[in-house]
Amino acid sequence: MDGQDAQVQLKVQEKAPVDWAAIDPHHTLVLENRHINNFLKTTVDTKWSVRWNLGLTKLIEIVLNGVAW
Amino acid sequence: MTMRKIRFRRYATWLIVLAAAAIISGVWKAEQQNHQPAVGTEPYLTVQGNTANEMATPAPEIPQTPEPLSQRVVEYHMSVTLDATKMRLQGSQNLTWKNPGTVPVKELYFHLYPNAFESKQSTFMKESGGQLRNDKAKADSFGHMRVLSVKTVQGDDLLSRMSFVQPDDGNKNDHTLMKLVLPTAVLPGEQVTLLTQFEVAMPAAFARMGYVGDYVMAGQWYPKLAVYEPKGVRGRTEEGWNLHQYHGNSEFYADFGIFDVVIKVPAGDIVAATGFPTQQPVVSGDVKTYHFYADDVHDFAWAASPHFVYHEEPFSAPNVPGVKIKLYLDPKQQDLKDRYLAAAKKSLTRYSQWYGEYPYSTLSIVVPPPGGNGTGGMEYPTLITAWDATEANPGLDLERVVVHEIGHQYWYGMVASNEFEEAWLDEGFTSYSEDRVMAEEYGNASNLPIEASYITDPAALRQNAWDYNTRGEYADNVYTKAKLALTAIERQVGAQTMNKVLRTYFQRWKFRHPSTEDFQKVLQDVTKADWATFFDQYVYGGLMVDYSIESIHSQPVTVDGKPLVESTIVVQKHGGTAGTVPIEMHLSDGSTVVRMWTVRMRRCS
Repeated sequence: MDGQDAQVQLKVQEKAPVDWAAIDPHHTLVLENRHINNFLKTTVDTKWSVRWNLGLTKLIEIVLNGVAW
Repeated sequence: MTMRKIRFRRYATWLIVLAAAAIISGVWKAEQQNHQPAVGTEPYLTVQGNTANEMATPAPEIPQTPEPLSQRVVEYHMSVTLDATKMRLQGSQNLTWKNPGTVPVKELYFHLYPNAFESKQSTFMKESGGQLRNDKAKADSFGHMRVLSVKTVQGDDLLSRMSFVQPDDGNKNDHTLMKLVLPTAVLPGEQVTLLTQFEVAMPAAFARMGYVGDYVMAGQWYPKLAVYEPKGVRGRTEEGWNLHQYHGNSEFYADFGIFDVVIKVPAGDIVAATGFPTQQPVVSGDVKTYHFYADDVHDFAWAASPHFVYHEEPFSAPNVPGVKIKLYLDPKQQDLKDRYLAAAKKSLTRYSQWYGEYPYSTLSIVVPPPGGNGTGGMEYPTLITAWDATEANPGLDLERVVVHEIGHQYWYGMVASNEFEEAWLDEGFTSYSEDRVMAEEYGNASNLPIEASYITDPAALRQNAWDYNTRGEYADNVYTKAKLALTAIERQVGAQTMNKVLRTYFQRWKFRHPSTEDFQKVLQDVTKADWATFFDQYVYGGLMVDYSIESIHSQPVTVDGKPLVESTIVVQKHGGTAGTVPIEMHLSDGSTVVRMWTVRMRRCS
């Protein structure tokens, strides 16, 4: 893998499939400003994902209201 | 200048309360050992025969530093009288400028910064919309500076040789930069002295200067000579003046020298100023006269109020030979003395330990009265302003602004970068340093991922302050993105090496005017690595880091006869290159695999 490339394909061979992946989950890349695309999940239960999304949206709204400046 | 006062207020109120309680209790205990209560009067250096009337003349008995720390290009002897009923200043200036270049110079240029506030048509007001940070210019409040006379020491009147210039935008309604054509050129190494009379109308507190009631903050209050940059300074290929108007998104740039200033105020006023007082203030009738002196500084600011509650405390540390911390509190916050003093001591101790000696004998902290935030959160050589005293018991904002502005004593005060053209060199470096002090001394670490997410319009760090599209874009970049860029460098080279980088940069460039390239060279010298790609992307370019996971696909495979699952994860780079990108993959059986996408640094040849 050459970090200068624009894209990289990672292949892992394991007993189980990857069900989600995250870039830099511990925030070591301090100049990363769009964390929203750092995470991808393969399969999503529709019913729960909608609820999670709504719940998260509400949570983010509450937090952002609190830190508005 | 500190950019924002409140970020996480409601979100973190309980944290701040807890932290403040811990700090007050912990710091109180620690400070008891060093604390020496303020004495009633300052031990002024007495200058015999120096009266209020001798304003525009050098004070011969003022102690001189044996070895000048800077190339003293300018020497100002000034006298200013505050008319507190009209909030006007009457000033006279005796200025000597020494040509530091190699060719004769026929023209001088002066910044008349208060003219930014003379109308809504000035470049500053048009660009800012009359707002800076959260502070708005009062609709009916204007300010200005009038040059009443300019003469040579021989008495030749130069007023007709004066004109306003607008090199940045051609706005003829902008009178913040004045050109003066001299009768005879100043030869290299020679000097010229001019005698100037001027008047300043102070606006209601806004954009670093002005008044609130009977409090007055005089920043940028005198005709201030521009910087003549010799060849080689900041990469100049030909020597010349560095000329810009006063912009909505811009601070300042000036040359080092000597300031000898007499300040006359109403008898009941207390004055804070850059440098140190040369004698006890003298009261004569309704007028009180102060006399201050400072050398190896590039600006002089002062503040006056009859309500200041004054404290002073001597302080020294391994790299602080001896400084008097002078605190000018608002009565509403007089119980917070120890918090201000503790923040100042911690800052001085840390910065001097990390970067180098604090060589000045004073550090003054002015707390503006409620409503005075337009003048708050600002740095001047050896004098800073905190946030105004609106809150009787503020959270850690109190400490953070003191820590920030004292950081500017290093990144602006001594390492005097050009704030017009490369604001990140002072604001970014100061924000980075401030974060370190706040984390190490107060356990109050900034939430960098959240701060990074605020940067919605990343831009190049090295560009003119007014070339950013909005105030927010300016602030997000020169404060936050710059701080993050320095933190990214630190993460790559390690904290110890980063400290060596900044120390080397300070030691190499103190009392001079470095450029972004000069810092890059220090970084490359110390780390022995090539940082061109990093700088091209994040400093000279407008990139941030932005990686995304585009897809995840899994399919069954057989490896050595065993059934396995091969998962393919596509990671896309949208922004600049990061040193090492960790990618964590979670398998459906609960296990985790981590891979690193790494780019190697090139070594300098």
